[in-house]
Amino acid sequence: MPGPLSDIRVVDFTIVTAGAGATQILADFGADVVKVEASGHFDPFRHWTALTGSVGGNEDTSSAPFRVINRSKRALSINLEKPEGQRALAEIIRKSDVVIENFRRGIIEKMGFSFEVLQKINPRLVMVSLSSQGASGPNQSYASFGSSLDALGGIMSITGYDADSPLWSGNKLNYPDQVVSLLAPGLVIAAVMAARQGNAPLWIDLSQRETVTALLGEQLLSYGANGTLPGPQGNRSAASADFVVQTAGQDEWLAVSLSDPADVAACAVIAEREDLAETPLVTQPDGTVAISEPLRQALAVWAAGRTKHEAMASLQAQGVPAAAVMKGPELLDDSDLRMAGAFVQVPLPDEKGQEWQRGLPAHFVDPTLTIHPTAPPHIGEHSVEILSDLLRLPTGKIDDLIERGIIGVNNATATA
Amino acid sequence: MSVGDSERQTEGQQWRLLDAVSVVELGGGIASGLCGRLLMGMGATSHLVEPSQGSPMRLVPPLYRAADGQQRSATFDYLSAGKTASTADIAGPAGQARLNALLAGANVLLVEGRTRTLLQEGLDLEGLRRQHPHLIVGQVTIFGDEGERAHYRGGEFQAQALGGLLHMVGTKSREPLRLGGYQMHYSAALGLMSSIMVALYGQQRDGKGQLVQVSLAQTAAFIEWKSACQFQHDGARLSRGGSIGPFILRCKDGHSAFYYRERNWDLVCRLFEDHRLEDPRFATQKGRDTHRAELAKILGDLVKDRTKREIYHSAQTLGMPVGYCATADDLLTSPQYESRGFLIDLDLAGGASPGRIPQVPWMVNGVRPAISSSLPEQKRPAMGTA
Repeated sequence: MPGPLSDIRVVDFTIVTAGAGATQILADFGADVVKVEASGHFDPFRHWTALTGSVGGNEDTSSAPFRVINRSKRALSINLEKPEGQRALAEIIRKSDVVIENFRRGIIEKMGFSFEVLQKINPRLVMVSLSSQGASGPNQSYASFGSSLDALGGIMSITGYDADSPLWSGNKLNYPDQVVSLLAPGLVIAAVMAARQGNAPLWIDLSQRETVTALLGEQLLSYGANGTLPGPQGNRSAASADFVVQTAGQDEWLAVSLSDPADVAACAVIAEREDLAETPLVTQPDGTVAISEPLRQALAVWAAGRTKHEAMASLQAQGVPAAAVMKGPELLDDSDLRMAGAFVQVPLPDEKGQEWQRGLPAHFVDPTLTIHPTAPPHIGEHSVEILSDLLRLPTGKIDDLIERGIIGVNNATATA
Repeated sequence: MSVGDSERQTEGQQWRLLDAVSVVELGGGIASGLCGRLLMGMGATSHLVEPSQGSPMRLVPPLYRAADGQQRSATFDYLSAGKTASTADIAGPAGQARLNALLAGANVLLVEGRTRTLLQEGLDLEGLRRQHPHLIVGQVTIFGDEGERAHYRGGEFQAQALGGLLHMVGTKSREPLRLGGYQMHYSAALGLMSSIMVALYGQQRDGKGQLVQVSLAQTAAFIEWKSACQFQHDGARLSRGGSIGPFILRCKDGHSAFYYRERNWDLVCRLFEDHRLEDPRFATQKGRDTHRAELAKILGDLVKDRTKREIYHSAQTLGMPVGYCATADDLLTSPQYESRGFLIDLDLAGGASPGRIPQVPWMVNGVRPAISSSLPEQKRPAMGTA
């Protein structure tokens, strides 16, 4: 059964995570996402080694992260330095609803596909630009990676072990890219709806830096009102006494929050320190809440002799908010996450089996809205199909374009 | 009301991507609050229904004292700006009638809490969906509506833990660290909004309502997707910390997030013009990674008497993706944000604005969506009066 977005076609110039993650969600729901890679400039994520130093193979789908966020897409390899390549892509754009890109400002224009050009090609089009700081302003041409946006967006200023040591979310998490990839799909859909109502052409200018800041709005307001600059507070919070305790095993932890006297009393009983049952929660000079050090130490001793799951179950049984700090490999086997559809089976390229990948960010109760992702594409894997289906080019013409290097076809071992 | 059937909007109104979409937020929550705000940024209206004693979100930190002496929640105020509000105690027949009247004219309902918990509180979600079959319902929980942990107590911190995200933040030698603020609540809002848009789009075709459920723990796992997939791929067990990424360097007035790409090393040398950077140990990226601690010390020495913005602009002029740790003060005074009209004064009726809040982070045809900055009128006793 086609997905709900099956009548939307997206020309997808996005690379790496923020943009490609957004179009992955659209593709999962049935949108025809045509991943465009200009000859010689393939998505660098195909060979991304930053996580572990190795992709485990030379093929263009060897990178596991690439496979996840590029599933369900069709891939077109095209030479945009040739007028014929430009014309072919323009024709595809004419038959599409959306062009989306996350290049540094100026690049899409240099490629010949500025918004001014696109709206002439297709007056019904939605263009979506995901950029570091937006398409205007004194910093519009500044470059960034997720790490810089952690800093510039403000999340770094409130993350860290202490006020003098702000920290970023890390290249393994790369939080700014993830939040943009969650926000953008909804924007794209709304824009397509508006365009089809006659409100076109539309250019959506989404700033990654602004997205990060929008997730700190209460901090800005609080500072403006109070004059107290928010800063890193470790794991502490103003709402409850939040802390981690180490449990049995290597780097195993439990995240605990105590918000009222009943929580304190329950912890004291569990830790066999009933004498501490009435120790108060104390508001610190920085506004965060803390438990007494003796109780914290007692709980640490208790927890050290238990696994994080045992400790979590024991505390939760007494109504105390506590959660095991899960590691990535454990998530795959977590029954609650599996039940919610947090992971789905996705075919590997070339019918080499299947693998578990992240599912959707939400669970749709209507079973007709389950997704059926398909394998991520090789470079140019669908070039012929796209030119044949969308542009109705005859086989001879397509062969000629391939021979003259205007179009690239399935090239699993190509590197950028 | 239907989604669609609109005349062509004037240029100034083009930011209204959604036409005649009405959202009801029941009870008030952080995730549902931001979701409603984002939909408003696309042109929807959002109406908050609070219990008569006030939404619990009115007590969510950070708190501040307004000019009239009232204690207010910056979280509630940020997320409620531009919304209308009313009260209804849904456990009783009058409140349920009021809610049903609102939902008859709404497209989207946002609620927080498990289905069975809501039922205990008087809201029969399944009955509501039968009564309003067109409704798109967005439901937020911490740990899921069903499952072994669905009944657990917890919040933001526990969601970051159970979703695997907490494990990935911090340094190797220390305990795992949370992302500051309400990131899982807000990220859940982003995923919920996009999922609601999928449902609204599909509804154009089949007219059906939908129940979309999101949990903070699942959101964390969705965001923290790389470590599970990498483990499956090659058995690698990713953890927090590591030797790559930006150098976080103490400047005169804060911190620089000094990030350079391998091909930028000559630019780094040009930026600082210091002989210590010409050390042969730093000639290759491998060498720079091996001797990272020493390199960090030298770079720290080079920036400590300079401002973070000076380093930022100088490095960016050379094409390096350097940033700086922007505090709330930096963000509120950012020339980039000022030029794009990203921040707006919160409007407290009858009083001076307590501060500024971000608008939605996108522009449409060069125009920033104009959500009102006024807060919903208080129709019941204020909370936390001085």
